[in-house]
Amino acid sequence: MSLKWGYTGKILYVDLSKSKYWVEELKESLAKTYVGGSGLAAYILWNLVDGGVDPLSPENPLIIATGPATGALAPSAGRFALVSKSPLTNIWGESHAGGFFGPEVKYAGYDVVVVLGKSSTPVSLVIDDGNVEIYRSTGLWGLNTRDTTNELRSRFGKDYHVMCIGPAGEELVRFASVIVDYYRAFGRTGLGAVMGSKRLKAVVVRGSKSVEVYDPDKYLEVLEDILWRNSEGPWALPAQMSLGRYGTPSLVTAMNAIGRLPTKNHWTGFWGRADKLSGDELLKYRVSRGSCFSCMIMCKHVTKVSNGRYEGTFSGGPEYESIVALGSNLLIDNIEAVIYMNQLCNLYGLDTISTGKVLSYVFECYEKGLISKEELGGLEALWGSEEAAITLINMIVRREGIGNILAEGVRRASEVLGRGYEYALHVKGLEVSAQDPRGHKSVGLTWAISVRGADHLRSLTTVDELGYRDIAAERFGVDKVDDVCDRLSEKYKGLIVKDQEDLFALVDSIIMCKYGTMWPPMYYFDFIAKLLPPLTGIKEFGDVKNLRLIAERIVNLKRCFNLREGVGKESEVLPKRFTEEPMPTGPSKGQVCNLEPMLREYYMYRGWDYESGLPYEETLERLGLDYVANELKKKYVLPRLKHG
Amino acid sequence: MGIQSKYVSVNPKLCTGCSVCELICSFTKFRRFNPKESLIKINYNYELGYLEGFRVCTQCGLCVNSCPTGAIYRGDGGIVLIDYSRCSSCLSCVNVCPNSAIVVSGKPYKCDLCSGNPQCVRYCVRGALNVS
Amino acid sequence: MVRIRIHGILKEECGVEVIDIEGTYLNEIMSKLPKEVKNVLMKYSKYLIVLVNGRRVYDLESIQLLPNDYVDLMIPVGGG
Repeated sequence: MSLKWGYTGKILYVDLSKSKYWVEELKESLAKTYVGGSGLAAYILWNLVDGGVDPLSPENPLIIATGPATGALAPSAGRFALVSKSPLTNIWGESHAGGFFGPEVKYAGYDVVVVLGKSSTPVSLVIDDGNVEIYRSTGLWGLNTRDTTNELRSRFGKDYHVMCIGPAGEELVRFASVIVDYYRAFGRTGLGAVMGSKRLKAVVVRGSKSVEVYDPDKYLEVLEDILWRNSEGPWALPAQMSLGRYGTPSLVTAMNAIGRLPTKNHWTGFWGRADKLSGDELLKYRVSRGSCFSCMIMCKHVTKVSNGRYEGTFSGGPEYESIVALGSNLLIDNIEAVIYMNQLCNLYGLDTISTGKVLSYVFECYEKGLISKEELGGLEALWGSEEAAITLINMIVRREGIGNILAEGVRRASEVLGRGYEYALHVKGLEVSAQDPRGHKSVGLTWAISVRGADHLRSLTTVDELGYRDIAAERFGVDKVDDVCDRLSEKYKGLIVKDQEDLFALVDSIIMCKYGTMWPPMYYFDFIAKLLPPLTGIKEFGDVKNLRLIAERIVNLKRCFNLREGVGKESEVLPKRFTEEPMPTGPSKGQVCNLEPMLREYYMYRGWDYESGLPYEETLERLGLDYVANELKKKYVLPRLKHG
Repeated sequence: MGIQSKYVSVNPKLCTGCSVCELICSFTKFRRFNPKESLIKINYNYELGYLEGFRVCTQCGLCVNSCPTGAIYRGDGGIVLIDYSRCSSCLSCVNVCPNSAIVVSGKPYKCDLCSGNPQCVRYCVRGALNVS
Repeated sequence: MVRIRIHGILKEECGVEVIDIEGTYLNEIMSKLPKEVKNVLMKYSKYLIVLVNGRRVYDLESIQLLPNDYVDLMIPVGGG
């Protein structure tokens, strides 16, 4: 049976080396096994590369993936995924972006677009329904993302959507991002450098087709349910009045209140000046409240600085992560400077999180006398110095002076410089995000085990941020509520992180947004079981046990991708700051993160062997990943639960 | 002209450009999702963050006279409707519509306020849509 | 003196950001809040989150506070 509801049933392949493109069928069996989005992309990537591929080589494919819900009216169904091997970490690379581009790929008739090879000169990939053009873009090379987007929309039409790289991706900065629709970002893991290595300046898309629905009568019930949850349900008001009204910046003062607001390169988790970077402070600069496609939470905003040094800055965001990375993390309390730097990163195409953590590494090394003013080209990298931060960002993008080393990411930079390792905060090479495991223990586990590295979006649990007891009781049992909801307890965090990682594997494959699933906890497995069958006609998606199995399959596949790259349990460690330095100040003062008990518990729930860091062969068999097991056995001896 | 009917309008101060109204319209009318088939069109400038405009039938009735087969008529409450048993798909109505509010999907389609319970208004969580 | 900090929409609607109050038991302290603050807390009572020194508390009557303790009032927010 061919796919035609939800899915388009088509995968577009583009080979930039040969200037060729062709369409292949997306088989129903594959959709049933991996759903779509990053789950399906994991299967495609696993089969397209062997371990050890250079991420910046033509052999590394770039996969643009939508899910069956993309383009439909479904929770936040405007998001889509970008997948490749990461040039920053040399392991699994994945990022998601909102906006309006993803649905357009579906309307053009494709579930997935796979870009292979490399162009000898800069090009843009232009997709207009069935027409595909590899468009010479030498004139765009060097332009920032705003100008690039405007040029392409002017050339092709305002109804076309653009994802593009800026100078950072062109310079192969290893944490370069891809900017979508001006202000959305495929931020993390340096996928902008993958595009840069392919001389692919932009992808442009427009489509006129529809997303078909298998059972519209039944789907209408789903739509009424979504509307109810967002207008009258128990999470509607918090969604609108916290997240909707202030956007993610509403998290700044909340995370400060629980003592996990990263401050001064994560030295501590509390800052007395956090109020100057709060959601309500940012509200003063807001031009308007915006949204991503198909979303009822509508948490986006556009900001403008009208006076002062940064007058004229016009930016989408900044979001919580960016405010922390470029603000409290650097002891910069000037919200206008943060808005400016956020927009600078948008224009250059830089991951704000990695950028901020590279900067704070430099600032701390400078403070401790490990980096000299001379090495910084005469710059004084003082805490709180907006000028130093902006100068360093420019040096990184131009690969100027020490910028050339910093552009490699904090892990490589500290290795090349040979100092400040303890201030290079990353896991597996991905710079840490805006959490602190000492004030929120499960974060330590999330960072350690996530397939991208120190990632807050593959399994971050929120039930233990402010303590949502009802949710904890419902999902994990009344007997576990006290420990589950206690952000300072390590107990049961293996269980809840594993559960969240499974949920998010589906969220990232259908594709939905973390807002609505990570927080507020509006949608869970049972909702997904109601959503997918009437949309796609695939009955198997209606069984929660099967959904959980698919989720585990996707997580295992991604984890095994990293094993095939030779990266395993030895990489699941946290920077010593979080495990050995008691938090010096604030509501979580005195805390350290004890990773081991959580890691052991996680491995147990995952069906992986803690001692070897490998999956039990039975786990892979149970999940239908025999082909993965066979591949891994060339490198490893997989443990078995039963012997003989 | 006689009765001036109600019509849907969008409050630019509240619209966030989410397109939920377009999606529920295309689903209600055509049982699938395609904003280009929606009978209400939002033109949101997502670079600068404001609603540039929107297009929806204002029930002005110019199409009534333009229709050579008499398929278009004013029904209850003054809402302009199309009788598809008479429509010849000549698309004269499309040409004469001052709002470019008639969508062609085989036949011409226009907003009919969902027979009195406009779904776009219901599904706008922000309340940016209302019936004027 | 116990410091009460008010966040987000609660702060926006009552106009108060920080207030210091004398008292030992949390419910006693809460009862001494200015009227405009109490009205807003009533309005959002179904959603109110109370943190004491960064830890969530549920039964306000039994919570005993020391001088220099702090209380944060907010509605749910999370993730990130």
